[in-house]
Amino acid sequence: MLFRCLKAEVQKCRRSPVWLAFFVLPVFPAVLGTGNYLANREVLKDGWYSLWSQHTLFSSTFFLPALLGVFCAWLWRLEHTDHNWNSFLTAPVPVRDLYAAKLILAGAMSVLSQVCIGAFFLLSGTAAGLSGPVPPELLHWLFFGALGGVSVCAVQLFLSMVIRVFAPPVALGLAGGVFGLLITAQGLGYGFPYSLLCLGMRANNPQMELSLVPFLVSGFVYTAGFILAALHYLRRHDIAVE
Amino acid sequence: MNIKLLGLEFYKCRRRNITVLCAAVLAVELLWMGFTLSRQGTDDLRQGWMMMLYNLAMVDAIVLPLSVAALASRNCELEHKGSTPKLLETMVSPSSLYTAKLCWGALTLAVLFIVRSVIFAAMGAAAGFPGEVPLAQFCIFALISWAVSMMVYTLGQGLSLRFANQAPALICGISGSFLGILSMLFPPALTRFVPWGYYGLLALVGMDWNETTRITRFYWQWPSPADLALLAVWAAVFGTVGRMLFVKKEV
Repeated sequence: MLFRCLKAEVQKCRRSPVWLAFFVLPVFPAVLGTGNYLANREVLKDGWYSLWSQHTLFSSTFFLPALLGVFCAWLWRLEHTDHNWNSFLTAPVPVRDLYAAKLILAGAMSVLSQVCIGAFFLLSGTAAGLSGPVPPELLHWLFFGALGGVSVCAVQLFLSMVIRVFAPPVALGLAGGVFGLLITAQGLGYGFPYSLLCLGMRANNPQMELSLVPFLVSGFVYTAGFILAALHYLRRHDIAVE
Repeated sequence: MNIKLLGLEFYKCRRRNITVLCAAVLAVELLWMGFTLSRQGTDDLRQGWMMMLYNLAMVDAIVLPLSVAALASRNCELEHKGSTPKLLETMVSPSSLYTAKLCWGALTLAVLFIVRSVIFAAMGAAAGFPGEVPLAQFCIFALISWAVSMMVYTLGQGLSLRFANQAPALICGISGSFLGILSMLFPPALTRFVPWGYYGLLALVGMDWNETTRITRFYWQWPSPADLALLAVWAAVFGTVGRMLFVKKEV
């Protein structure tokens, strides 16, 4: 059943250009980060590592949470329009599968965004003429960045489901990213879902050793917590069409 | 545009949590400033007022592009949801409807920036910044923030009215937030081509960081008339194109 729900979600995405944003928008941090790296080579002496921090510092805090927020808001927008909530909740399908399909798709977008960021990073590094091998940690950064992104997706999906309009959850995503930056600077990043994204990507400090246990526990707790909250909401609340 | 249409815009936006959205913007800015102030030493606070306005310009560049796009989206989305243009355009011209929405945005943003100025002036006074509250600079800063935000709002309104799906307008806002902060690292000649970069370009306070002494010095700077004229050009372009697309849209 889950597979069928996933298929339906993918079908809803057909001919929608929203996924394009995940390909196109990472171009900005790549171009601007590389430009900034080239302009400050005398200060940024760590080659690939410095380039990574320039690519990801702002994008993981201000840009990716809001972008994932747009996708999550878009996934629920279809249900919020017309009388789709009635069809959604009366379909002979468990709500957990309906919800899981959306979360899997949002998680896939988080992975896709990391793949694009990684690809642009490699292209930019090559174009900038960086010598030396590509950092072996790159896959690690991307993998944990994607995991952090899944936690953000769980929060944003919940917000976009409860707040039945498009823009405010996206703005909350940006606010979450800003708070995440402040909280990470205080050393409390593992306790806040939006900080997990930049911690996972090691945006501020590519050579930082990630504390795996707190990262994974925090990611699991937030993801599971918001899934349960969303399922509780879906089961207990009557959906009145606006 | 008549006053009745503008009044109706406010009426339509009842219970659309506009106040909550504006309060969230203020909350993020306050939190950022509180965090910045908590990390400053006594020496840095001697230039407190200038430091505050310098940081506010930076926070504006991050927060306002998306927030203003969200505000425009809240006001325009309801027309798509209710399929109202078909009915409205039998009574008023699309152009006057567009103007009414723009005026609604102008007034809402004006209130937001007036409230913000009062809050931050009080915050500076409470933090014990030396000297009088620089009222003139606060007023000019609010005016600049309002002018740049109106340009961004005009772009957001154009997109939000053009597309029923609000994703393009908000993705544009996200790009704006990102380019807005990054453009502060660009040379000014390049920043002039980034609409959201005007938050930084027209900042009232500049910063000088001495690499050898590691001392930061802030100084007042006045926006150049050429940059203000360019801002007006951007706003006019967004306004003209947005109005044309809305007027010609098949309802």
